[in-house]
Amino acid sequence: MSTVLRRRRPRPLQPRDQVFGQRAPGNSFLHRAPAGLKVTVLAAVALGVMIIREPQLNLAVLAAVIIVSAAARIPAGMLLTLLRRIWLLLAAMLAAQLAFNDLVTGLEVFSRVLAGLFSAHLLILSTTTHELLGVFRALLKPLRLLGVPTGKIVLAALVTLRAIPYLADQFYLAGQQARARGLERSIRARTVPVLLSAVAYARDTGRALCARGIEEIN
Amino acid sequence: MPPAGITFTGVRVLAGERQLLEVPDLHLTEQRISVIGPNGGGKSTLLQLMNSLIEPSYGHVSVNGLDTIDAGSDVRQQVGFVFANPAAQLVMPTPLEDVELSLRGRIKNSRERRAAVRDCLEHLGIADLAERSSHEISAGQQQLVALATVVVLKPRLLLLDEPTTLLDRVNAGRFMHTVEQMCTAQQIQIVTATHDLQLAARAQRCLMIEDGAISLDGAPAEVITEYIRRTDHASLPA
Repeated sequence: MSTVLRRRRPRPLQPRDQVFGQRAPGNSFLHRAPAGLKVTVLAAVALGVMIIREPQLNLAVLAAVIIVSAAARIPAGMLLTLLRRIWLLLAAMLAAQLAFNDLVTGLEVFSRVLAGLFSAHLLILSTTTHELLGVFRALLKPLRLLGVPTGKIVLAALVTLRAIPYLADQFYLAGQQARARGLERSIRARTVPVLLSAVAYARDTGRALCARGIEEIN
Repeated sequence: MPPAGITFTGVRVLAGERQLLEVPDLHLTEQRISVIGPNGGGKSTLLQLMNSLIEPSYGHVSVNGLDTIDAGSDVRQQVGFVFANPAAQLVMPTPLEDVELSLRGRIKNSRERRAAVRDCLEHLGIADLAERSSHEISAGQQQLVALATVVVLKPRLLLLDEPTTLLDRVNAGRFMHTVEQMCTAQQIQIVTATHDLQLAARAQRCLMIEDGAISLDGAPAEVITEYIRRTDHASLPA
C-alpha cells in the first residue's frame, strides 16, 4: 500500500501593499526630469481633458502615457497596479455613468478619469515623495505673503504623508489579528484597533514635536 | 552656574479629580537615573513633568534652576526627550532632514547646519543612513535617528521614556550603549523609564513608581530586588 504524497497548497502570503516609495527602478529621462516640470505637465493634461472633454483626446493621453512609460522603461505591471487597487471604484463609477448617462458620454467620462489617473500614476512612479514635497513647498511659498502659515501646512502635510504607511501597516495587522481570532468578518475587530493606534500615533507625534519645539517647517 | 539637577517640591498632578502622581520632595543630581514600576503607575507622567510637557497642578518642578511653568520653553531647550515609538517621532522623509529640522532655529546658514547634522550622525555611527527613507529603515535605526534629532541640540538633560521597548536585544543594547557613551562624554544627565530591569540596573540611582507615588528610591540593585520580590508575590494565585 503506497500513499501518494500530494503537494499541499498553502494560501499564498500576500505581499504588503507599499503605499509610497513604489518608485519604478531606473534612471531614465523621466526619472531625471525636474519634479516641478512633471507636475506642471500633469496639471496641464488634467485641465486639458477636463475642459475639452473629447474621447479622442482621452485616448491620446492614455496612449501617450503608455509610450512615455515604455520609453522610460517603467514595468507595465507597475503601471497596471493602479487598476488592481481601484478597480472596484472604477467599476462602480462606470456602472453609475452607464445608468445615468448615455453610452457615449459615459465612456467619455470614464476614459477621462482613466487618462487623469494614469498620468498621475506615471508621475508618482517616476518621482520620489521627497521631490513632490519640494514642489508642494515651492507652490505654497507665495501664500506666505498673504499671512497664511505655510510652515504649519507643510508640517501637516509631512505628518500626513508619514502617517499613511504607518496606518496601512496597522490595517494589515488588525486584519491578521481579527483573522487569528476568527473574526475576519467583523468590521469592529478590523477597525477599532486601527482607530486606537491612530489616536495613539497622533498623540505620540504631537508630543515628540512639542518636545523638540517644532511648530512649522519653512 | 545655576543649581544642577532636577527638583520636585510638593508636586501633585491631577487629571480632573483623579490624582495621577504625587511627589512631595525629590532632588535628582546623579548622572544616570532609572525609573521602574508597573504600567500606569506614573513613570511617563514623572518624565513629562521634567520637560514641562505636563505641568504640575500643585507645587514646583525645576530643572537646573529653571521652573517648568515659568520658563517652560527654556526648560525644553535644555531637555531632550526620546519616546518609545520611533516611527512617531520622525516627520521628515530622510534622517538628514529630520535632524536638520531640529537645528533650523539655531543655525541659519544651511551649509553649516548640514555639516553639524553630518557630524552628529557620524558621532552616533549612523552616517550611512543620512539619505535613506525614514520609514524604510529598521526600528532600531529609527530610534537612533530620533536620538540624533534630540542630542544635536546638545541638551543638559536627556529623558528616555521606554526607549528600547520596541527594539530587539541587539538594537536595544546598541542604543543604550550609544546613549551612555555620549552622555558620559558630554556630561548629560539621563533619566530612563523602562521595564527592562537589566537596563535599569545600569543607573546610579533607581526610583520605583507605583500607584502614583515613589515607593522606593535608592541603589538600583536593592530597588530592583525589592520590585521583583513584590511583583512575584503579587502574581501568585490567591
